[in-house]
Amino acid sequence: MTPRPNRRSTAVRIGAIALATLVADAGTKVMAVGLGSVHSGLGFVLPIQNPDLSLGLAPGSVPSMLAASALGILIFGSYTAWSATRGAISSWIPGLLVGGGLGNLVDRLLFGAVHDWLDLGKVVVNLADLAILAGLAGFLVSLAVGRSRTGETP
Amino acid sequence: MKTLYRVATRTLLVVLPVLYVVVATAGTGHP
Repeated sequence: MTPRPNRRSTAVRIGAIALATLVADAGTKVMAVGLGSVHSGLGFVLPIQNPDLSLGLAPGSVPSMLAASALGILIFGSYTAWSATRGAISSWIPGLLVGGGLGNLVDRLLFGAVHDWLDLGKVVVNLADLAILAGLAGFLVSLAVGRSRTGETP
Repeated sequence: MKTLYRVATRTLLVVLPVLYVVVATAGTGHP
């Protein structure tokens, strides 16, 4: 059994990863807009402003989307951060989930839409989306591993 | 009661992440 991590150092790690994700996401969005305005020849850079939630699955007004995003970050971010301080999951998981969520929330707050730029063929996403999906994958794997080890949820 | 609690907890653990992805990500279908 691994020793329980120090709560404070775990919280600092989560905050640092979230901040790094937020800064990296904002930086790549600015770079993508710059690259998109000149003919760069980079086929995977396609700057688009997306006013909807994930793939337009739940369209709504900007205030309702801002509220839903903020509530989601607060509830799921708090839960995963709490799980990390208990040692049930790694601290990078809430770090990526919260950092990615904040990246898109800040975009919606400032521009009323999210800047997507990374062309993956069928969809165009951004670094925040990838961070959230990586965090989600980590969370689900931790859940499955925790269950198979103890028969309990993390 | 304990079984109900477990089922509710596990359901939440699946529903919450999916809801989070919907409200937190953007993503655009290719134009």
